[in-house]
Amino acid sequence: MQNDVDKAERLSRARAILFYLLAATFVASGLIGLKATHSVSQLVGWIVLALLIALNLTPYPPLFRFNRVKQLMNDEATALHRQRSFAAGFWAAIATAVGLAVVARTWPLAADDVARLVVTAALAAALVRFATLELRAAK
Amino acid sequence: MTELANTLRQERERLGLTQAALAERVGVSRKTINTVENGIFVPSTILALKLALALGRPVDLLFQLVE
Repeated sequence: MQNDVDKAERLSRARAILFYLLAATFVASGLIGLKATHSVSQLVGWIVLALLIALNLTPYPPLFRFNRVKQLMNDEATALHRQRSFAAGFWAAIATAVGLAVVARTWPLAADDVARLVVTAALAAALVRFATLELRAAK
Repeated sequence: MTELANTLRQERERLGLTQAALAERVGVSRKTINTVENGIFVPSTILALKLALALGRPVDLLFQLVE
């Protein structure tokens, strides 16, 4: 019989692995979608996916108030990992935007492609950073 | 630069507790105990006091400032 701490550890590990997969999927979909013409429904689908990923990186505390396992999965160390993952996402967005500003001088990009690349870089970096910190802390 | 050292691992092992058992007592995850013991994570004052209470030691014995 697993206690709450064991359950939280198992679920935290699964969450970290899921975040790696989510980052890979999001990067792949971002790159595949470049230079393509998107319908409104495709654009809405991508925006919803981006928002869901961003939401997953936040603690959304009211939902966890009464669930002990979820509280354990979002304790102090996890909060620090979230902060660090946000910082990684911020710097990835800055680096990507600067890189694209240079690239766009010789290879013009559409505004939606630029937005897609910046958001993809920010979220993927944040997901990977969070997952890495979580798995490293559990060792 | 001032750093925070701790004797958490020694005190936990003195009581024969695993990281998971201490985590259960304090109400945090095992990884939080692990990162505090390894000096990766500096706990909040509340968590430091909870750890001291759970281990039956004064907080300033568990955590010390090191220059």
